[in-house]
Amino acid sequence: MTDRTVPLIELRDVSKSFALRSGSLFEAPRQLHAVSNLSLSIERGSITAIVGESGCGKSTLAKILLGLTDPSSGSILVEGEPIERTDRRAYAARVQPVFQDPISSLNPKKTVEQIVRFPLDAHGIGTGRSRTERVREVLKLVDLPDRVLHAYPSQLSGGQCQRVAIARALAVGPELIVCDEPTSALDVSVQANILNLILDLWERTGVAFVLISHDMAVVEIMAERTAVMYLGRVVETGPTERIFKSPLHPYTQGLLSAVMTPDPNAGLPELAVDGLTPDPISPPSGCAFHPRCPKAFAPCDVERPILGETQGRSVSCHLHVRETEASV
Amino acid sequence: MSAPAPVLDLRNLNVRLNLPNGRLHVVDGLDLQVARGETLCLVGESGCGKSMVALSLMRLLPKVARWTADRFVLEGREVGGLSERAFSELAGDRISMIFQDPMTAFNPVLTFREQLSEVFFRHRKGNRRAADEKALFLLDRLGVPAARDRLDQYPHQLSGGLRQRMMIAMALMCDPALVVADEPTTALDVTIQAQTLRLLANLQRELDLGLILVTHDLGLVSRIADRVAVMYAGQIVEVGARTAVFERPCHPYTKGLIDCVPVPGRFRRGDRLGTIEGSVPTMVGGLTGCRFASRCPQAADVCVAARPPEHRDGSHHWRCVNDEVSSKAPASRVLS
Repeated sequence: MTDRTVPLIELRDVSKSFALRSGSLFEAPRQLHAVSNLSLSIERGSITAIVGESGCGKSTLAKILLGLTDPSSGSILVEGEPIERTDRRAYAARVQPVFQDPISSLNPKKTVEQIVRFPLDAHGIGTGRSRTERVREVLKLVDLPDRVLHAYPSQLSGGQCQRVAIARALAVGPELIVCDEPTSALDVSVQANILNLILDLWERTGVAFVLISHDMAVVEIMAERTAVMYLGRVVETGPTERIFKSPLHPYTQGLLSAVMTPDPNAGLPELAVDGLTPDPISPPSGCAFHPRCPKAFAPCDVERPILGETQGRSVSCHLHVRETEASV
Repeated sequence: MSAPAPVLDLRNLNVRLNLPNGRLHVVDGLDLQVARGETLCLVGESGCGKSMVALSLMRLLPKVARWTADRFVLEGREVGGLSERAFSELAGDRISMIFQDPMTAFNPVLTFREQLSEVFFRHRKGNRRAADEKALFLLDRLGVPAARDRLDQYPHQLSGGLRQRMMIAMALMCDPALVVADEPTTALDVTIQAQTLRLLANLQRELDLGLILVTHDLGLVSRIADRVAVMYAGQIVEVGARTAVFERPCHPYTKGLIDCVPVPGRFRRGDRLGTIEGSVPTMVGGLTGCRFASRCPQAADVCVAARPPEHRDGSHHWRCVNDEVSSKAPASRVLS
């Protein structure tokens, strides 16, 4: 019996840091904090978006969700059970990946049939015949014709390769598919096709998706909930609609203002965010965003804001959370 | 009161690739004119031949490529017939290029100072100080902090955004008349992208550059272009002023492309985006008729039979059997 109220996967205060080789033998190795104190819950059958720019830790988060890397601290609960108590192999079948570059994430020496069948073989699901049938079934789900069964990835277009990658993820009947920038290597017309496909699959199969992206416009049509990350921390998270209607964190506002939609009368966007991305190895003090923030004030460079509830979402910004703390 | 002579006048450019499995006609009868101070955006999806156009302008085509043009006039001078060696005197001086990936375009074992001054010394007489001054002037305009120290650094030491600014500076070291930028901001983060484009646009205005911006990003094009040329399968299918192309797109491919772009605030969650069915035809062998016909929602028999005629509405040209100027903006445009 699965309890509907317990999230499929819950991250509690998860951090991941990497030790970097330092310049000298006698120096202590420096730490790169890829993800810091991150809490996130993923509900069954939901689409959750993680947005941020390079170096914000979104790909490390994807690896943690996929079980490809263990967090340095914090806990992961799978349907309320600590992940340590679940079987790793079974977990891998429940959470499947789709990567950014469809060409390099498919083995060039295997046919589409072998690629899509591989997870079924690896997890020992079904018999030989049922696996062959399952491969045809998922290829149909992603709208690929049977004739690609014996094709190699090099014979397919980028969009078709991404469909194969999605079919491979679907084959074992996962509960969650983690898509790391699934369309950023694709053309706009192909991107539209793949995004529509993900929405179709979500409606038809009920599988949950985590969509990692840097494109706010894509996130809006796809996700129920959105988490915006900056330098390893979630700065704003909540229902997508609310975040788009009234973004609270200055970084979220900046990301939204940087979206360039086709509009010949708008000109280049006025930048709500200035400056360059800081080095994640030595993040700025206080709020990591303060050197680029147009609204930074006294406490921002000293005190790190905490993620607090306000206006139906969580924000980590002194502008907003102070008020709620006072009012609570 | 005639229009100023274009800095580039290119007529009937054809590029063919001789590949083991056949000859690809990747650019087919392409015309381009760019004036000083003008930004022309060449838009299209991967495989449409837009990068091949950029590379032919710099004469950097791969060895398997053969190109011809009826006219290749740069600043009033026919340069199509020049030998590679003679053309290399112009490349980097009168015409220069900004590449997509600043990591691979720079030599990793030389400092920026060495790489930027190399371009300068190749075409200009002058000492180190003159080269440094030029570099520092450009880097200052591009908002590079601590520019003097940055010049002594190596490519891996800078972030992608700064590296791309170094590349822009390198392209401008000799005050070229025309700059060809191939997806200059695609590799950058979204907030850095807008910033870099603004800096590039400012410098372009200040230096009165002709700029050809090759990109697949229609949003970007609509914000920065003076004129837009839409390419499909090696041909320009529509060209015109920015507002004309975005507000009254006449070619079905242009309309389709604009409708594919997600627009914040226009869609509700779960809405499906517009798509273009099918895929780009391979360009092996001769194709008669409209190359977009196989994917076109309005295709008729005549489309397949012969190449559609060119229609004009002022400076707005398109090739389609449909000769009506569309009065309706594409669905994704927010009309307010």
